Amino acid sequence: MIRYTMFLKRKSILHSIDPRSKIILSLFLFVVCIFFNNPFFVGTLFFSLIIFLKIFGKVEIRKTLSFLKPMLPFVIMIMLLWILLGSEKGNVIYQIWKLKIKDVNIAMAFAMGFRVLAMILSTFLLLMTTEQRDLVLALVKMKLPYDYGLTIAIALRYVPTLASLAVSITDAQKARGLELEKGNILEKIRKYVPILVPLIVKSIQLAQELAIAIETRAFGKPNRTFYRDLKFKFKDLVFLFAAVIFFVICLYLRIKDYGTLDI
Amino acid sequence: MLKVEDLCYEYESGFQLKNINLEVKGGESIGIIGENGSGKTTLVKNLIGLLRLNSGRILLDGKDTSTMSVAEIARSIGFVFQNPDNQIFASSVKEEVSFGPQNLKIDNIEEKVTNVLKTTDLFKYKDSHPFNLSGGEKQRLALASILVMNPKILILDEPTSGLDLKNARKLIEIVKKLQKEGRTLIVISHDMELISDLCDRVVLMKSGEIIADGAIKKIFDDHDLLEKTRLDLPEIAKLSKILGFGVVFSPEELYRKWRASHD
Repeated sequence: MIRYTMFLKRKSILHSIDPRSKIILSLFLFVVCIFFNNPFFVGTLFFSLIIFLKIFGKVEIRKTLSFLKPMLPFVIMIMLLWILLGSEKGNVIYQIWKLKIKDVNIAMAFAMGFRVLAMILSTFLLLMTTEQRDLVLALVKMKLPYDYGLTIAIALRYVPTLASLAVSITDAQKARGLELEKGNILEKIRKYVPILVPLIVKSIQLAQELAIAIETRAFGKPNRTFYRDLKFKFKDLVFLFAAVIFFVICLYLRIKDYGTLDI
Repeated sequence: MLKVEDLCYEYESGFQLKNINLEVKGGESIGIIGENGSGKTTLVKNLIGLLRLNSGRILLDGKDTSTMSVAEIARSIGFVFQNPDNQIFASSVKEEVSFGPQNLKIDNIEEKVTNVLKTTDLFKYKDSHPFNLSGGEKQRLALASILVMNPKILILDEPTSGLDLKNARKLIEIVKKLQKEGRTLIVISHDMELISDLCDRVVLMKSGEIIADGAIKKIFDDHDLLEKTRLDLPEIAKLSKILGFGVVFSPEELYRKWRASHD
């Protein structure tokens, strides 16, 4: 079954924090991942994030890893590229024809692998603990124009609808003998036409209907009020302060050249 | 013709089909009824191989369908989906109808497409764009694109849903003709008038189980069963039951019973 949202309903500290604080933490974590390229530093950051999510977000480690699993081929590809085509420096530890595998490149491959995973996890941390509507509301409160906020909200809202539509269309075409698994790559691509055409047509129809529906409900009228509101509480401030301290410490370590490899 | 033995199927969400046993004989017309979420469509998707059962088996002419692909099953079981818009992709009606036979590598496609377009009263639209057809015509197009594969068993999912009376009647007429030709029919519907019009046997589902399977009049006469499943009988059947004549599906039959009771 398809998962349409990453949000996991839990009663945790992270879930109760104002999404604006979490957006800032997420951005800080993302930038900090770029600061370091020592595999031990980045690896520690990655594993700490998993434990942080377990303790403060009540997200089971198994669950976090299941979200990261689909990203593994991408991470492995990055690691292989680093091992095979990395820096010229370092000692050769193995050679196959002209390809030299070097110790520095293996270290960098692990660093980059952990960096990508930690970057993904810093975004997942926000998405796993924040409901979509709160995320959009937070962005609007952070001065994103409401039109853009609504666009994001609608895009997120329609992911499940379109995914379910795609499944229905695929089922209907399979019932007419369409075999997506058979044939060479070109034939396989061509076989997606009977799925893509109805999907695009239905999406346009949906968009038109939705546009009319929001127009009839006075979309675009200035000075709109909000049904839900976000209130920045003391604990959100403490959380934000802790995030800033964490970022400053990491920035200091980077300036002092800790956690970096010379390549 | 089709035999389901101890079929069990479970979605990740937890919904289950439990120990489904069903036998469909050639030429029968069966209505599958039950509330939303009772498992009707899940059962049918298992029958046509779009979902694969967890345990039990489905025998199609004695052959276990677990070894057959969806396309292979589609040669014998045709499933007309509820929403025809979910399958239309071609630029002409005849091209749309020829999609299935091409997938199944059936011979004499042009002749078969012509015949089926005549059967479904769409021949005059053979070169029209399918998106320009009315709702009723699109529904007949969906039926034509399955009929052209000449399946022995025809499954219709809510065939008259969203159709006006004229188009619904036209579709029913076509289906009745197919019944007379000896085609086996399975109809999923909430419309009890349609079920009583087309089917002589009813399979009643509730919470993933078959709770009754038998002659339509016998099941519609079972007060406790109707209460339990909140089935709404056709108006004529309600009236005949109030008058004490049992379940009757046509005014003519009711009149005959009334005359007989007064003679």
